[in-house]
Amino acid sequence: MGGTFLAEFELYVMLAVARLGDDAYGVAIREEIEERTGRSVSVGALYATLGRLGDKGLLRFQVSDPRPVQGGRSRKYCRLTPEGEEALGHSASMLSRMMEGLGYAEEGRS
Amino acid sequence: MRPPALWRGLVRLACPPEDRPFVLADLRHGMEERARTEGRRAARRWYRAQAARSLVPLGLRRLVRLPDALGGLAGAGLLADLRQAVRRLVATPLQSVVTVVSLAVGIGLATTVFAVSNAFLLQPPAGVGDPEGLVAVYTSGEDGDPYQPTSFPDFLDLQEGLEIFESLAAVRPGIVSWGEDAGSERLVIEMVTAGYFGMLETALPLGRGFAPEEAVPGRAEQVTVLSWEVWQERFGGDPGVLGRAVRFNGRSFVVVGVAPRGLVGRFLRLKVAAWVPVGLPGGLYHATPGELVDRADREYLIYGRLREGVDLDVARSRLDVAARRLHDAHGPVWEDDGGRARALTVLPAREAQVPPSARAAMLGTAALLLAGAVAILLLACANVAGLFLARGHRRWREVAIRLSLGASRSQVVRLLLGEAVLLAGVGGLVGFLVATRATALLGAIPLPLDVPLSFAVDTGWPVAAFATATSVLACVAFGLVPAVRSTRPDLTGALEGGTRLSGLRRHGGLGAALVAFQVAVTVVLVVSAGLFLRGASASSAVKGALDTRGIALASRMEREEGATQEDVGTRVMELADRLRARPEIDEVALASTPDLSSFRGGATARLDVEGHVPAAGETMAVPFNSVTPNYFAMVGMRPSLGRTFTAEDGAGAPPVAVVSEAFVRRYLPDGSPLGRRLTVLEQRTFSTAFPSPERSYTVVGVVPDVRTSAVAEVGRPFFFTSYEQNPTPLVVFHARGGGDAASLVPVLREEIEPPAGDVQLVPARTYDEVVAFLLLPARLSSRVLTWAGGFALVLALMGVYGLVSFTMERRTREMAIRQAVGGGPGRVVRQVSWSVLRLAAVGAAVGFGAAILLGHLVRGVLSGVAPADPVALAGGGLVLAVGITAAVLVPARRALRRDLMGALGRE
Repeated sequence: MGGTFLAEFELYVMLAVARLGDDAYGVAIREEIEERTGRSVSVGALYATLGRLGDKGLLRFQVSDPRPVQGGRSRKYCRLTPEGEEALGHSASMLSRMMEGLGYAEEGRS
Repeated sequence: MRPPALWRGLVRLACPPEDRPFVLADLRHGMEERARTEGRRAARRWYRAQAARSLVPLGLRRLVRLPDALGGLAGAGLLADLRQAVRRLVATPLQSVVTVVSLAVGIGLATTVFAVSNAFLLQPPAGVGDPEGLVAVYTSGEDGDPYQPTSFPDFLDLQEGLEIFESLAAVRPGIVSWGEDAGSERLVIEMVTAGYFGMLETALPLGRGFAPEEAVPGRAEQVTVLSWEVWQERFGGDPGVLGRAVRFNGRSFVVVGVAPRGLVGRFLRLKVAAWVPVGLPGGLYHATPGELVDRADREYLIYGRLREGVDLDVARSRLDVAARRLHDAHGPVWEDDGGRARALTVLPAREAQVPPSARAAMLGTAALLLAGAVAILLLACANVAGLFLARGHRRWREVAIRLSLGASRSQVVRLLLGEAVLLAGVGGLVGFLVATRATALLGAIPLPLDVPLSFAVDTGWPVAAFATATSVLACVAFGLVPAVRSTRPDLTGALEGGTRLSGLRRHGGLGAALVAFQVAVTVVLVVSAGLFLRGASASSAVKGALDTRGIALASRMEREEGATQEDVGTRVMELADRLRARPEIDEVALASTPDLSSFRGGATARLDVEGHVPAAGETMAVPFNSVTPNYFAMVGMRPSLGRTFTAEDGAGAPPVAVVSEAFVRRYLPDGSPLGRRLTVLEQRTFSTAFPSPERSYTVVGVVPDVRTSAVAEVGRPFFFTSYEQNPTPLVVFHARGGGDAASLVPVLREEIEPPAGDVQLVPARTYDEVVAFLLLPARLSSRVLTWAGGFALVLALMGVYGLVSFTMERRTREMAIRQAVGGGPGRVVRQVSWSVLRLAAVGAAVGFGAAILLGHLVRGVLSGVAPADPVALAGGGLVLAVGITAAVLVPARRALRRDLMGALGRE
């Protein structure tokens, strides 16, 4: 699985899932990406990507019980699988190696 | 708040089932969040945008996963299957071509109907920001129709007095000549108030819209905003166009802006060439100074944007109050011909792209046409299914061998389905191309108006989606069922040799149902075609009352300021004399409007008829025509009672009128109509250049009913006055000479010049050309239906022929055995023929019932034909009976002559 290459949006989704940890579910992932990248994410694209990542064995899902509030719905929680961790690490290291010394990474860092 | 139902439904449809609840919940959550922070409109907009962007990724994901659900259809084998399918289709080229053509016609037809109705009836207005927030406001008309234009003073009052609108604008379509010469090219324009583009929330790619001070009529410097197309085609997209001058009706207009691509007119999605501020003088429709100040002159379409938080119900109640106020303030002007107070009506702009009074009828017609197109598609599918059943039967042994060798059933289904997918794919693609071309042609139907009217009907993604969905459904309809059936054979029977009857009955059942269905659909289409053909000839019969041959027409509008009715009469008579002096012309008659043209409606009179007490709310506005005495003889109209006008009915003589038979039936049913009096209280013509005094006329004659304008409008009350006694500013010269009408057209063009800077309502042309426009809808629909009916008939006959040949082939073994024992195959052939004919009869009975029912539904469209027209029904029945008998007998005879023993040997 080390060779799995993540597309840009897939990478964002994986990073958001990793960052959110136990709290990674649809709305939270979308808001995380929107906040950090400043670009609007479509619900459909997000779920299609989650499904695809699941098919590749990089994510696994767990559907929660409905939340104990009025109108509460169940949530689909995501978590990186070991293969997912590996793929994310692989992509991140490839990215950083590609950007090494170019100076782009400095930009926008606060 | 609720999510927009349509978008929610689409997302549901596109979404893979396992994610569906989460996606919908997330969308709803996001919308509610936005509703709290940014308001409901923004929230709905967000939802729509999100849903739209979600459809493709979700749909793709679903498609990728669909084959899994079908049992592992996807995979490496798919390509090989397709390749094999191509090979098989190429091996039977004729069959493949016929199949693709019939599918393409069905899909193309359905897609065309969908594209047109989608553009006019379903889609929100194009080129407009947030089209859902846009509304149209109407004033009720003289006859109580709620959806009529509004007067400019009323518009100004609404604009100032109503806080429910964020912005409000008035629009009026018009036609201008482009360039110096009034006879030159004509363009469609829209006259709009300042703030029009802002109200549409459309950003101009270049320049700006109109400033309030520019929208003041009579300004020395006039300005215009050009359409994107005009800017591209005539100025090559040059940004330097701003500040340059163009000429409309001989006047100079400075270009201040360019409209965005795709912005069409508010009325009928007309392609508009340019926009100018209101009050342009000299449009095609009289743009008198009075039009902007006269409250009785209702010419403007009003569009507006409702304020945040104002919904249609609130708008409705506010407009009711406003209408009451206007009625209180202006009294009679705010009452219609029936004495009722006028009303204001608000509609979403989406429903205002076609005249709202006609919208329901148009939706009905569209649904009917779509049903017809789908019926043809189903016919085509039924044929292809029949073909596949037959082919499946022939490949029975191959299938059985594959299955017994361990191929899974889904693999074999996939193999058989490959051909269906391929056929549907090619058929759908060709169908979509056909539809694209057809809508382009429909958008530019040449109207005999000398005006480039074209309608923006685009085939965007909804249309492509429709074509795709239809193809997929068609593929499932004709491919899946036979494929599944063919793989359920009696394996041992098939392998042991030949086919057994027990297995065949089942297949025969499906084929039989297909035949009955095909015949039923064909009967409906053929009978409808017959009805419309009869309707078209009935329309011509009505026209027959008017003899339009050899006559050429040209109009002229007298609109000199301060001219009296007498001045107009004198000037027109002089012109007529000048025409008569031309050697090519023998006779000249005058009329205020040409009968049978589409321009009727401009000249109406409010009447008081002696002896007739109007019922409460009865409209006494009756169309009239003012004509010279020789007009009746020229168009072949003879009085059925009394006389028509003579030279004695001149300006000084007692005023006389000739009425139509329908007029007599409605207003003068008792006693002789001759000598009765009717009083014109007020008359309206195309121009209200001078006031018409109240005047009483004595009825001197009755003429047969004339069709005045709309297709289904026969027998509407109508009357004539003498042109010399009642000259109208718009006059149509009717000329007849020794030669044909076309040779007179250049003469009329020479003599009847339009006034400088004006546009001629009826440019010189033959009467037949003018009438052709009126008959266009009836002719077009009867032609389309005739083709559709003919096509359906061919398809159904092909289906019957196929079924009979297939059944004969299937029963070869039985026939051979019978022959061997000395019985002969005749019995089997007779049996098969009779059973197919019986099925056809059942289908025909169902079809006739449906056709009669349908006839009742479309009564309004047909004129002069009963819904259960015996000629149409009998004719349709006869054509079908002959066709089907032939389709049964030909293969039956062939079966009788076959070398049965040889055939059996080959099995």
